[in-house]
Amino acid sequence: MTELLGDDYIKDDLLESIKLGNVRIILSELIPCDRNTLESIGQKLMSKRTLHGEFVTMLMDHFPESTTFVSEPWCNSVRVVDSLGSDYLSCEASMQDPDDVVEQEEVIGMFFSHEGHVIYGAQITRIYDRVENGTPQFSLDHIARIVVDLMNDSSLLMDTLITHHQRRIIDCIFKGTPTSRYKFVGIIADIIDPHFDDVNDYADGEEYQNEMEQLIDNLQLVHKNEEDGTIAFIGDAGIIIITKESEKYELLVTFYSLLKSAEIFIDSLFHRLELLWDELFQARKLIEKTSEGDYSVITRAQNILTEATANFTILNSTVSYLDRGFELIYERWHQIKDSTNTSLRNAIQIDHSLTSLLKRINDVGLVLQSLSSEVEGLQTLLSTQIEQQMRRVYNALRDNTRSTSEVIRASERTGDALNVIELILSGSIAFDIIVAIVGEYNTPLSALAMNPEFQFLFFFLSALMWLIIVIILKKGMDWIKSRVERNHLVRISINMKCDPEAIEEFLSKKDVISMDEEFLVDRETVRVLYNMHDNNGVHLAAITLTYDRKHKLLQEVSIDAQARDIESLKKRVLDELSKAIECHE
Amino acid sequence: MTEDQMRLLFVIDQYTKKGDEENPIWVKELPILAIIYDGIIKGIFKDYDYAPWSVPMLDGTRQWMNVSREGKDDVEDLLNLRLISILRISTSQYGYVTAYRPTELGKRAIKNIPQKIRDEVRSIILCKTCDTIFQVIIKNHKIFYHCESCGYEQKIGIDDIEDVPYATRPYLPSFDFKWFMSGKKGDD
Repeated sequence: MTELLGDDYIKDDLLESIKLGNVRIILSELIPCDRNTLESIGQKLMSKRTLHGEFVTMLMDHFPESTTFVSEPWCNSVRVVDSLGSDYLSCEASMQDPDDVVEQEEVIGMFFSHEGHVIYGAQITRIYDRVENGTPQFSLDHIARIVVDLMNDSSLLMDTLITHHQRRIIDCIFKGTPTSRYKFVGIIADIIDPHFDDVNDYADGEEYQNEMEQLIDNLQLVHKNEEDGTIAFIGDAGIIIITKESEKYELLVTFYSLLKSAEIFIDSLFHRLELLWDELFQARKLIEKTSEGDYSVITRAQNILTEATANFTILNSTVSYLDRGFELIYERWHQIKDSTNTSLRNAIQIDHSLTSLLKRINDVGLVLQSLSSEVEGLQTLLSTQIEQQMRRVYNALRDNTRSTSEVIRASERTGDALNVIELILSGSIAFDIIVAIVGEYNTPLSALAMNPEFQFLFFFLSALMWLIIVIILKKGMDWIKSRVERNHLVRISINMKCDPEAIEEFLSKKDVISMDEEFLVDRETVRVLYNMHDNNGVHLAAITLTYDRKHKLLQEVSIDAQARDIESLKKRVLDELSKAIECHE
Repeated sequence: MTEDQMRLLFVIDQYTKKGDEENPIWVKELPILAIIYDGIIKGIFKDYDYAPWSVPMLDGTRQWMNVSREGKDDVEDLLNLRLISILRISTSQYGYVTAYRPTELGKRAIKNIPQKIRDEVRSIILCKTCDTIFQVIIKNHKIFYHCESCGYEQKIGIDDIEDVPYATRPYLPSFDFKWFMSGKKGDD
């Protein structure tokens, strides 16, 4: 066992139990893709140029109309090394993180396929001052840290390359945190130290196994191919192959990594779908609250449901990508499997993994189907609640409008009275003007009026005359009013028990204009608007009948009519109702 | 039991000893991992080291944390020795939380833990001002020691992933990608 003293970078002394030589790292992840998307990424990277080799930075030019562009001292760059139409892209990427305080030269290979498989590959050439020289130089402790660094930096680099739609999918599934996107790790090395002839010695449950598990999580299997001495360590999150003939195993390791990364993606997708159920459940609870009369939460429910629907749409589209990608992969695997190493292929049960993965993708469709029904159901429920809320607003508005009309009409009546007073006043002024022009004029009766004996008589005559004029004017006004049909809105509160079926039987014979039903937890309010006609079919009034079906209660009758005698109309409506519907306290 | 296993058992005991059969208290895995990390960098857990690992968080995301495989393995060993019990609890976010508490056998074993080991463990989990045990709390993916008596808080750097200086060259598997994509060997 080698002890490494603590250094400036790591706070602890690492126990370097296992070291590898000539280490190649393959990180694999699944990003939903298609041929057009890959073509778009290829155009961004100028993959169509005859001579590949231009570096493309991922910086954004915010002033494209200007002459020059100021770069940053450190930036990521990507160079296409190979491409085949919209099938695949193969690149080299140099990653520089300006926040890194440690000297790192991260140059990696990248491979994208139109099926969405992405491979990042790197060969370690140096860790600290240990340079690759074909001997076991690099401890698993250090390799684990490099793998994490590559995972994070490759996620950030990939975020700058993928399309907006792909980023939306990734953000939705991994909740916008690149660190949540972990990748399957494949390690191919030439040599291991210590080397045990019995590979079970590595699975000691202690020191060596712990070291392995730092990189590949729980160690599931250690396999040795006796023919060429290749050792494979298979864990939940990675695979390590120690072989002198790496070419023989690269295809198998790559394919296995693709499958495992797809499993990671499906796990994350399924978890996200579970969270979506949670979001919909929350929306359902809020909508149910509105049906209990708490309308303050409608906007919140709307926001949650809108967000959940958007996420559902995104996740739904993901499954189409998966279906398409893995149908092709399945065919391909059966074409190439015979060229892979049989011993390791059987050990890692790749056929079983692939079949199982396809079934899982298929089953995700079932969850999505249920989610689709739930989303639709909630949208309908919410629309109903919003509609009911709109009706309530409309009713309130209608009542307010009627009240306002009443006020206006009252003002108009006051205005008529004022007009009459104006006429009288103008007449008085006209007489005053004439008197001012011609002076006071006398008639033979003037002398009589001046006579003290008749002064009181004339005073009483004047008063009598004033009274007669007032009576004539009042009568005249009343006669004019009686000739005008006025609008009336009469609301009669009844609140009596009755049989709703009798009401509905009564209404079935009426000219019903609209019916508004409001189903709440504690009541079922029905508002019916119908026209009332006389025996000759002339429209008399619009009647609104309000009753609670659940509590069998006739609540209110509103009469909206233009009539000379509203009292007789009111009596007629109530008589009609009492004849048809038997009510009691 | 190794000394580190004793330390681990004592940590679990310190956080669960107030419970009884009626209302047992369990200590969760993530706080234990955080205390182990803190114990490693303070030289308390002598034979452990740590490496970054992607840990599922309560909100369904994942976070890189310095996890000690030796520490996790010793928890397994304590379970195998029947010194602790394990409990798996589901969370509202469809995740799971694993928690532990000492068994009766474990409680008897704790009585034999030397005072020196007890003092070492207490030196990291006790608030020096109040002499009460720190709670380990998670806030925005960060983990803190928190003293409920005086309100003192101290971050545990379990999520501070250390970089090492290294260099890589690009590598892609040497098979022909055209062949890989088309499914026909040598098909150009």
